[in-house]
Amino acid sequence: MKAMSDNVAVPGRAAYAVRKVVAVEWLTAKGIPYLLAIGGGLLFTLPFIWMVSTALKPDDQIFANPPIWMPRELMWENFVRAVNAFPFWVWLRNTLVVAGSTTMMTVLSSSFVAYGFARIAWPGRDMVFWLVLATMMIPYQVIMIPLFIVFKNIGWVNSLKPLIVPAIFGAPFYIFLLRQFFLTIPQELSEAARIDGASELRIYAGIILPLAGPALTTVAIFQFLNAWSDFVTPLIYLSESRLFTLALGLKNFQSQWTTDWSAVMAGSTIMTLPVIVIFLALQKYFIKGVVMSGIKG
Amino acid sequence: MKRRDFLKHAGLLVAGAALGSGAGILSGCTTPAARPGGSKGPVDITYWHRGGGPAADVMKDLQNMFNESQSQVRVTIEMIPPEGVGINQKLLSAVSAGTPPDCAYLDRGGMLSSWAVRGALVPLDSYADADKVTEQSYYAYTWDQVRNDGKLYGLPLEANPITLLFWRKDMFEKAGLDPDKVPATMDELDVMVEKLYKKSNDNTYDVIGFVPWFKTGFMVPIGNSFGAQWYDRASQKVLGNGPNNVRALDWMASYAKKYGIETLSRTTQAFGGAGQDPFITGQVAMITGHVSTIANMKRYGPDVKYGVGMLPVPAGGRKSIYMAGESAVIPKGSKHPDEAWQFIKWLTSGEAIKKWCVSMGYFPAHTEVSKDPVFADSPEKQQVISFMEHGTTNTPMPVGDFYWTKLQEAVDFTLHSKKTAQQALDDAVRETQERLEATLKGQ
Amino acid sequence: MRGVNPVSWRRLGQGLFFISPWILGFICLKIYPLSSSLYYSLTHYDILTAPKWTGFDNYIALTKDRLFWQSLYNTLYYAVLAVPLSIVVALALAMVLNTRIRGLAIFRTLFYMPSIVPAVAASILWLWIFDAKVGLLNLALGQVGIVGPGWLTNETWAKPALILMSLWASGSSMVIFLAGLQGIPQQYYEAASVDGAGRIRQFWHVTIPLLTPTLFFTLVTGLIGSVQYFTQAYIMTNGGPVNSTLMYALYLFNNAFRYFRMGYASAMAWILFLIVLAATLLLFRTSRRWVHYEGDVR
Repeated sequence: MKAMSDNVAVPGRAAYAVRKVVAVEWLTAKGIPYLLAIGGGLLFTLPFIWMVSTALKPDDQIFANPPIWMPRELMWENFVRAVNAFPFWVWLRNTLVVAGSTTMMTVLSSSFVAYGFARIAWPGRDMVFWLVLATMMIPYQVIMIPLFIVFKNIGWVNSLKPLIVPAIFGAPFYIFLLRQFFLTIPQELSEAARIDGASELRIYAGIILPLAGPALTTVAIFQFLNAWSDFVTPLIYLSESRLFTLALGLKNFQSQWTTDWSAVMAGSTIMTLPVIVIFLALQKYFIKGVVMSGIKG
Repeated sequence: MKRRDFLKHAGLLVAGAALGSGAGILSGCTTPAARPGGSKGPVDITYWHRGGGPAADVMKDLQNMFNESQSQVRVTIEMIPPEGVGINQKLLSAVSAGTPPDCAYLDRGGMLSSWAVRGALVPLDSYADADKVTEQSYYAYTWDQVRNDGKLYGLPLEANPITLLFWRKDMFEKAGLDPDKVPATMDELDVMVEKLYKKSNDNTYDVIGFVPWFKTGFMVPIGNSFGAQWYDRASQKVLGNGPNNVRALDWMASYAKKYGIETLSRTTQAFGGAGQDPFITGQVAMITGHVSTIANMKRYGPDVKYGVGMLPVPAGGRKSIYMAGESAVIPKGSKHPDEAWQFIKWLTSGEAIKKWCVSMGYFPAHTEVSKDPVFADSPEKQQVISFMEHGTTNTPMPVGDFYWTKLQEAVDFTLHSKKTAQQALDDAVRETQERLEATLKGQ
Repeated sequence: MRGVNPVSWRRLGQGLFFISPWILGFICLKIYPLSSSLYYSLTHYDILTAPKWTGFDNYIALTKDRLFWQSLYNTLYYAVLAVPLSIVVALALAMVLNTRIRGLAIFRTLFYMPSIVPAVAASILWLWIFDAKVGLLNLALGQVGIVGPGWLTNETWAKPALILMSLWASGSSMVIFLAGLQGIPQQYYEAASVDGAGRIRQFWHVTIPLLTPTLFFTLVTGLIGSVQYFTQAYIMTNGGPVNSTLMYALYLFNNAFRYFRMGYASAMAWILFLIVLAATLLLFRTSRRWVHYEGDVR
């Protein structure tokens, strides 16, 4: 296997065709990177493997020293026990309600706003856009208390509404991502439509949105996973167990079952698995989104 | 033309926003309190109880029992899991939001009086008078804890001794100790414990003899054994730094020094294995524990031979067993206080409290129910009942929760040798006093 | 500024119409909370009784609150170590992957995955890994004869443990760095090597300058992320041992939602806001000196 990669010539190095030098070059250019990549990859993956393996272990193997990576027999019962120990299905439903509705609303509202920033040239636009970016710097803790008081005053505490409703305003980060994408769509498309008498709303809905599929998908994934993982907002607003989301529920499960490591790890696995699956299935959108967010901070 | 265009767009947007939030409301909100009372059918009320797991199952049964017992009131019991910050906070925010349940549990010792002071609870005296619920109905000290400024604010649920001393007879034998002999004094205890400890080769312990602050070994209960005072209600003075309090904390810290706080915490962190109590697995030979430990031993460690006793008496101290429990209250803003009263009266007496306590391994605060033979069905329980005359509690105060946290923080500081016991308690008392005064002023 | 003709008026109207959700959100979710939090910070407010004006009492009390200082110190400690370290790790990983090795996509996936694990699940997992006696980390150290510390029970090690855990999630910065590296034209390196620059010189004189925008971005987002560090501390240590992981956001949360000292917590919130504002402005100011945008170099 290594011999194969050996054959890949290092470009622009033909002049140093001495064997020994080539070997050294190979080592620094390929060998060490491979070693580091594999070593690092292993290091980054071990915690996952450890989580899943603990989740599947019988009790007497959990504390084994040296650690056992492959359980003697796979205890799927641990998952059953975890799911039955708490109202898992209710929590899953709540999580899906929050993640699903905020994803839909955020995609719609953020793309709407992004259109205003990317496709219409209005005076003062760039300054206002800087303001959008600047609000990303405000830590949640700064606005958390007044928001809580507002939601309390309108009687929304202990309901899913405070988790959902803010999404109708769009989120600065997604507005930014979508704007960047909208800018790459040729302006001529809009101009042609405008000459045909199409309103901006029609151009947005009829031309830009259909072309923005990948970017919208990226935003949708980000928002879905954010809502799926969010811990602080549910912690602040939800009291009754029947309203919990999975993140809050898992924490709660862990504090009550502290020492039942296999069940707790099964719970963590259940919470993580969908994220990993979504990531693996839609990886290219993910990477694109992350890369886009990094360009021109 | 342009204007109309704009208006059309704006109209669409508003409609869209309304749709969006409407969807949110539909999917998000299903508060049962929203149901109308209705003139014919039963009145629907909600009761919040703490916990999940087995407690939820018992509460479900109680809900059915109550709803089948009569036809005027229909209760829904919601479980509020203790999510870490303290379990009463959620209720407080619901009360302040004006959306409280009709009735709820509330920690008697730490929270009830601070809530009463702020006017967050409905006084129950008129109900109690009408239904002849008097202080004879409940243990005196539990009754004392649900009252504030001469008014009644709740009905006590349990009367649980939480600082019983449990020891493993088999491990005593292995260590060459008399398995039936309870240490009577703290000095005796200290000597016995030494023999029980077993060091492991990886800088932890294989067996921990005893750790004063483990499980229910909080500052207040331990302090009570040493004769500590905590608060003077009349002068509103925080007293937690007196000589007895300091002695108690010094005693706790002596274990941290002798056995190494680092090694101890390394060991206790790893405790467990499949939901098992370290006492049951034999990792700790002696613990201070909640009375429900007896029920847990029966369920999870039926073969373990163990003894139940009281905390030994320190020189100059007193026999003491710390009593704790919840109460059922009606928060301000309850939509159906009359029906709520009917429910909490039912819940804290008779078959209901009996079922609750039997299932959970608790003792009821209701005097009549507590005489039921089911609560003395084992030698251990009979013994516990005999201890209860030495029951002590904390002194209710307006910032009880804060005070408790500060005291536990003081323990933490002292165990880690960050402060001396005196310094740590001085700081806790000073901060609590400041907080108390701010709270009293703030109303 | 520009000619105010009917066309730009119409565009202004259209533009504002499209961004109207954001404007509403800006007012409801940013401006109003920020200003009312300033008001609350000047009151005593326990949410049961109405706020009571106390002037600067909360701010004065904060200066005397040792836990406030401790939490500020903890957060700074975390930020100062975790942010640069995770940049170093992310950059190193990105450079490893930028050597045209095979299976790049697989490695990128492996490195990136930990950063999307929900914080609650990650915290619980690492709680288990950090366990002093049976945790994976100490078992591994034990194999090479080191008795590992009680990571989360020892006040000296608790913060480093949280930092170590945060490095696990540096994959998202790595992806950004990798994209940045791949965007550097090969000619630059070739030119540099013709000038006789070795790998190390190439790194400092080509790679780093061209990556400064990315570095700047990760620095700013890292900083803002670390002052908000909450969930892991809340779940894993709840501030302990002896307040060594009592992060600023955690102490603020405790004051607000545990003791219901809304005024006091609001004062903390405003101090946090000012700190972040000052730090960001400072970064932007100094960035002119060291951040090069495309085409600036050479």
